Amino acid sequence: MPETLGDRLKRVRTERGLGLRETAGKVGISATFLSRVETNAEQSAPSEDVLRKLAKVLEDDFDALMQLAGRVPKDVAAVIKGDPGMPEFLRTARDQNMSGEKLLKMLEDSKKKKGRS
Amino acid sequence: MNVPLKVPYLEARAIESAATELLRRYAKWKGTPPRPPIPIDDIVEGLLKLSLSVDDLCARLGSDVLGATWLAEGHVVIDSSLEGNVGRFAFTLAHETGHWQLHRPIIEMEKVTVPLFSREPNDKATPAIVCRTGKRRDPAEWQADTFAACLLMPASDVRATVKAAFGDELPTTEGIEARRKAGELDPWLRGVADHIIEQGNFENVSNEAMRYRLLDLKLVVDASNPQRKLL
Repeated sequence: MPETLGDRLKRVRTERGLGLRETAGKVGISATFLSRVETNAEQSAPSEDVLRKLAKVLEDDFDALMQLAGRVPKDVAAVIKGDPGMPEFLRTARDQNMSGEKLLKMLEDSKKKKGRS
Repeated sequence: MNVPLKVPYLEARAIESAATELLRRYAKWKGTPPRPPIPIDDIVEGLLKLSLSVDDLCARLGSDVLGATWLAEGHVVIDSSLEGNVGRFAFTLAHETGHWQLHRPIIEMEKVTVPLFSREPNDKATPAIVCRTGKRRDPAEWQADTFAACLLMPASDVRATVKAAFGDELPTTEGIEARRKAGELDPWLRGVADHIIEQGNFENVSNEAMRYRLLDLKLVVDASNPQRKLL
């Protein structure tokens, strides 16, 4: 089974040696809520602000947590909303099985080539 | 299910030793001896590698359930109603640790039958110790309570704090034992317990727990006790 947001939060927290209540306290949420998220019992995913704080406290990847929570970061949503060509670009990338990681690598490679020429 | 967990008799001294041994293990693991407030969360999650959850146990298992331990999964759940109560949360967690340390080995040897409970509504029911407030007098519950007190208030730390606060003369007053038997709140003892909690940094210990600990360790003296002069 793929790792859920709760599985990941619990795994990373345990790897970092952080306690449940300690982590909840640092993030400013109740231990009950964090516990329910970790055990996949919570129906509503944590907000973007909470996930950002969790990523900071757990030294984890914010975008990965957002993706597992099924949320789109506000800044990314703004990019899509602000550029009419963006949805088509994303659909094309998806149809060509281009992952975000691959696209990023292509952009970096292209930047390097430009730098050399 | 309200069938009490049947466990062998254990003397308070043996329970104190078991708690002290766990603190020793923690000190070895951490590289430094724990000082009050005893880091019970780290003992449970860090040293014992148990999974800790905070959830609405009352709604699932009954209004008198504050803690439960699923033995096969190594999962401890504390009722969310205790979240804002530092002393009661720590004591309940230490109480569940007591079950884990004292009773799990006996259960694993299949010398005791444990009822089955589901941790989540759709989960399969597995053996669990479910602690109900109304069952405090059952031997297993008493043993876990005693373990919790010994773990969170190590005798050596409590004694040292009393000595630092009161010198060689133990705090003394009239009628402590009579009031204890009557289940009355002793305002004088409450004050002593508050003082020891503050002086000894027992931040995760309730006043009630400290009062009982001071009495059990005989660190407060009943002036009307004729044996007092013999001590």
